[in-house]
Amino acid sequence: MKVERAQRLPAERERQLRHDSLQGALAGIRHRYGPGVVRWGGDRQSSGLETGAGSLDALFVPGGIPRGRLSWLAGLPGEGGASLGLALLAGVSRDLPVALVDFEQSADPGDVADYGGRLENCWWVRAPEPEPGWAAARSLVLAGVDFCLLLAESWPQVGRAVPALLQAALEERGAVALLVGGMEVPASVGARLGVRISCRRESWTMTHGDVAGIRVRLEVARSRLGAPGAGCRLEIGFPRPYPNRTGIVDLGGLAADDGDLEELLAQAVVG
Amino acid sequence: MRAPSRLGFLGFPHLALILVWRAHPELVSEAVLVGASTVAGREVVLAASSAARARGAHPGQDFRQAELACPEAVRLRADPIAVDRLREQLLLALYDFSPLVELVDDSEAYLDLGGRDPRWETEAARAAHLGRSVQRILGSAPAVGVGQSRFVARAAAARAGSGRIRLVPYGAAASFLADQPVAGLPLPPRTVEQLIGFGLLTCGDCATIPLPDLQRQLGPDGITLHRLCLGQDTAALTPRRETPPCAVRKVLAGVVENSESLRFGAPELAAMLAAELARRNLASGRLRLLLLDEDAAGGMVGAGQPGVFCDEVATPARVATSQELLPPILSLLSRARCRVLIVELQALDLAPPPAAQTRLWAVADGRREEIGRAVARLQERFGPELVWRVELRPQHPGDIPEERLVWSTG
Repeated sequence: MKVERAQRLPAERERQLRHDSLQGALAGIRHRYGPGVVRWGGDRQSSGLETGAGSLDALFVPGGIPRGRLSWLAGLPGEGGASLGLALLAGVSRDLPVALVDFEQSADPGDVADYGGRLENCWWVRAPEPEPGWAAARSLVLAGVDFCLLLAESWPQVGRAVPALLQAALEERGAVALLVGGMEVPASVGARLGVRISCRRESWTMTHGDVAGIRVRLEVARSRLGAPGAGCRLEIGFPRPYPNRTGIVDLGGLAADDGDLEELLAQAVVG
Repeated sequence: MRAPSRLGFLGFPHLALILVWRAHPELVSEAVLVGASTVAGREVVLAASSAARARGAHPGQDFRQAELACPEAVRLRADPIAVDRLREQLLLALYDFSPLVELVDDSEAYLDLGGRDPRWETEAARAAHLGRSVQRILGSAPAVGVGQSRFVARAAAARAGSGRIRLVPYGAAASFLADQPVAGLPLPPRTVEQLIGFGLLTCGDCATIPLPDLQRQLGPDGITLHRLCLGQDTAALTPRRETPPCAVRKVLAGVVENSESLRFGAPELAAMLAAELARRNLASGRLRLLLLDEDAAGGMVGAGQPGVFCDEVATPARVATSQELLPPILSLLSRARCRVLIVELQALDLAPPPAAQTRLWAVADGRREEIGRAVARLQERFGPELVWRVELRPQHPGDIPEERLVWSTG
């Protein structure tokens, strides 16, 4: 609304000075260590894979699950993480090739079909051992899979190179890898994670005494792309016993978004 | 216990004047008279800029008289179709904040802001978004006032000025109005003259006089004056309920108390609203659900009113088809906890639907061969049972995965 020009000018000047000093520092580093030492984190890596649930996409800084990075949806069994992961996989599979690496060998592909996914776009990796599973994820990402879901209740130790190779493949192809399940990951995997989101069950959705869905609360526990703390609530309708309620229902974010209205709010007079 | 009454007031230039300024930005600071014809064929002033009003012209005046009062004013005719379109956009924005909206003379609006809106934590944040939303539509920042009654809200907006917000907390109206001149009160001119003659120049002066004395001296106007000065005027809003943005309404065969039963009617509601949206070629970014019981069904509808359940949900993307509408409708119905006779579903935040393109070929098709070669390498290295393809068995008999799915390693 009313713009206080006299107050804005110093901020503009300060921003310009910061920009100039940053450019100077970058030029110095590149001159000393080579032109490739500092790279933009933008381009394809910075964009996100939109899930269709606005509040969930808003948890990630690019807006959607970040491409080129490993993300982790942490949660105990029965907290809704696996259902959410399968529903997300189904959503992406409508248009893009996807892969599911199932370390527990417990996921039902029929659920993906019931969530509206296209099974002809899905590749299923049933990995009894960790090494083949991670290797398959990397190979499929390099071959062109856009979304790779890795599902486990507990994550066994893997060598440092294994997640590093998957991360490199993700960066190269601009793909997304989402780890779902468990409360701990090996240090080698944790070092490569871009975002950790905790998934907790709020309640079951009951219909005529049947469990028809689950309400979950997601919170960003750790993020290399932005500040943690944001959260949202989702309801995932199970395919059975009421198929007409299947899917993700966005129940909204946990934090109010006042955005650029701070100035206006500051001017608001109460009393 | 009922929530305290909270009304919002927005003051902005007349919509016809805003359209003139859009077409002729050079006239923003000039004296402008926008005319329109009445049903009787008489030419009257529909809107006058502040410069023209300062010279004696005013809306509703005969156009010739206004020309005589302000001969240097630029005279233009209003475009009624464009004004209607802008009014509809404005109402859509206002309905986004309240189901109860009153638009007065295309230059003022009242909204029922009672109850809490889960989108914003504070009343100030809600009012700020309201002001910013209207500014986006009109291109002109409104004056926003919030108070416990119409008069308080209007006085708050007048004191805030254009582009500002003034909130008067519940119960603080009398102290806020203490300095308000009686000349600005909505009372007959004769009554105002009487008050000034008595030496009662402000609302604070009048508030000290006992009600029986005011009533004895001024008659019915005394009661009105007393209520106005204490911020207790009770004039209700006259909502534009006849033109909801885009809504469907269903009267149930009887009162339903079980919200689970309501959810089974969700597909029908989704189909009805999708048909209405398709008829208007619009998609919605927010849905509002109103559930009315038998007591509320016949009267005015407002959030926080007994017998009325009102809630809304924002959709991640604009929705238009029944399949897209169903999940948000289900989530709204799942929150309902009341007796229901009438279900009304309103589509807000309307815009043309995003363009849909025929799926000429799948994005994945070009990569299938490469993925197939990668799968073959993985199976050669780790065994054939590592990577699988799955298909649904045609006319599968049930939900048991072994019967329903066909697994293959090819």
